[in-house]
Amino acid sequence: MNPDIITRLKQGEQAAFKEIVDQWQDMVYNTALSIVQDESEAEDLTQDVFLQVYESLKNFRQESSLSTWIYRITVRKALDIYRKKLRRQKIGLVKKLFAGGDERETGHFNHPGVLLDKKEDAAVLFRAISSLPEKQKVAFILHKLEGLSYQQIAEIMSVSLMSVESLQVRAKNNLRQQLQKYYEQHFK
Amino acid sequence: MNKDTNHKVEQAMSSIEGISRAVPQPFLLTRINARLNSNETRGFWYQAAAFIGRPAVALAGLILIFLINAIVISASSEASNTGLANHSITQNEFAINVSSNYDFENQEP
Repeated sequence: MNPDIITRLKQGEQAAFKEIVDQWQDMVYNTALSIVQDESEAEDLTQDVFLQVYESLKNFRQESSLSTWIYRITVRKALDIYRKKLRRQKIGLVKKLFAGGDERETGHFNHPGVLLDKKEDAAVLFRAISSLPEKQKVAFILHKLEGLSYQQIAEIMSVSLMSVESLQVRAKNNLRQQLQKYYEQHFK
Repeated sequence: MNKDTNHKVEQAMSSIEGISRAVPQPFLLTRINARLNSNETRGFWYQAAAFIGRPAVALAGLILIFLINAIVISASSEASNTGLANHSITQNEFAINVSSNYDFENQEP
């Protein structure tokens, strides 16, 4: 990336902003989609991320790389959306208990980048990913779906390398446990 | 965990191998610019309302109102106590008593 792009961005140059969007839109969208597991929410979130990049650029102190900064914004906003979804689901469950009817959101998420013959298994895996604790989820997604190194993930999450390694191990163990439970229930 | 379940679990765990990145709908920049332009044309009052609407700001405002109320109520109750105290002092110094019919009817000769 052109090293003076941040300077040009801070000066409000539209061409620089276009370069940023062109370069990072897939990364932002893919990360957002993997966390929120809803295409239309991921689309809105992607726009929100770039709006924030545009508006907050004057505060960007370049202590980290631009990509790290954009990843951080994306993860933070995606987790906010995910928490709101969780609250909505809980409210729906309470309504269901009192009013009857099926208010719970039960959609299966199909990531568009998964190979065709693996879609069914991937849908089950994404469901398990969704119920991971937040830090494990983020670490797992950034490594497995974004292909980032542990060092890069540590910078984005502002944790140590050892923490990222630990999060990965715990995430995989949790996923295996959940998948085992799922397959034992559904394929007796 | 039996062999079959184990196999299914490993199959699911490896289902995202070879996954490619999802891409957003085309013309994302156009949509972002449209939102940027609409944000910039919103007036001062909209932005002020948006600022006041933030939970932290609203909560801070409520706390401030309660504090001001508490200070005013506390100050006015101190003032009325001070007023009563002053009244007693004045009464004692100048031997001002409120006369009643009892006093008139029971005056000492």
